[in-house]
Amino acid sequence: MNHCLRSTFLVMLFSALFLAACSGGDDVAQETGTQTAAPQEVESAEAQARVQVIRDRASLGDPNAPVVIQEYSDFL
Amino acid sequence: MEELIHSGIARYEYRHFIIFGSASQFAAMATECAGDQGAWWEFHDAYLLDAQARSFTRAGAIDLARDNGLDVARFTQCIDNEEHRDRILEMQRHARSVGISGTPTFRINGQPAARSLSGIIEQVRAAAEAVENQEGS
Repeated sequence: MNHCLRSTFLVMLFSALFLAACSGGDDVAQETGTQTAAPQEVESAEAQARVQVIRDRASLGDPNAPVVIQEYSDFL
Repeated sequence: MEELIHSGIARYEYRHFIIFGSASQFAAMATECAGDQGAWWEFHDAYLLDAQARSFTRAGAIDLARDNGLDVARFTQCIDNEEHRDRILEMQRHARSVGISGTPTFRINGQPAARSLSGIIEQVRAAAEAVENQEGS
């Protein structure tokens, strides 16, 4: 049960990261949609910046978030 | 859950809690050494997926460092000198002091978490509301 919960939680977290990268790219595409074609590197840099903000060392999310979810775990 | 994190309501933190002995402790230290070079999550993900536990050895961890483009000499020095050992053991002592005895264990704002995912989500929302109410009063 605990391992299922852990796996589900991690899958959701990593899905979140993936979605963050994708949605960051979408935002850039929408913002630049009325202009000339958006340079690929701008979109890529925006997405990368978003991921870096979220994936700090051993933590995910806003450092100022009011709620902290801590997982105590062992890799084995 | 991702909505809670992306909306800025919640942050997730991983804490090492060693229960499987020296190999686990080594993996935790290697991950922290990788973190010194910005690859904490790459090692975290690799260790969770390493069903054969290859990277739980010195040679395996060095291979992982090389695969992730780390400065291998710096990484090797870090693991050989056990540079993060004390910090991990302190994390362990603190966890035991707040009642952690097994893994995985989740806590929300320092309080024991519900045992189901839906319960955790509900608990996070309630904790966020409590903080919001405190700030509003």
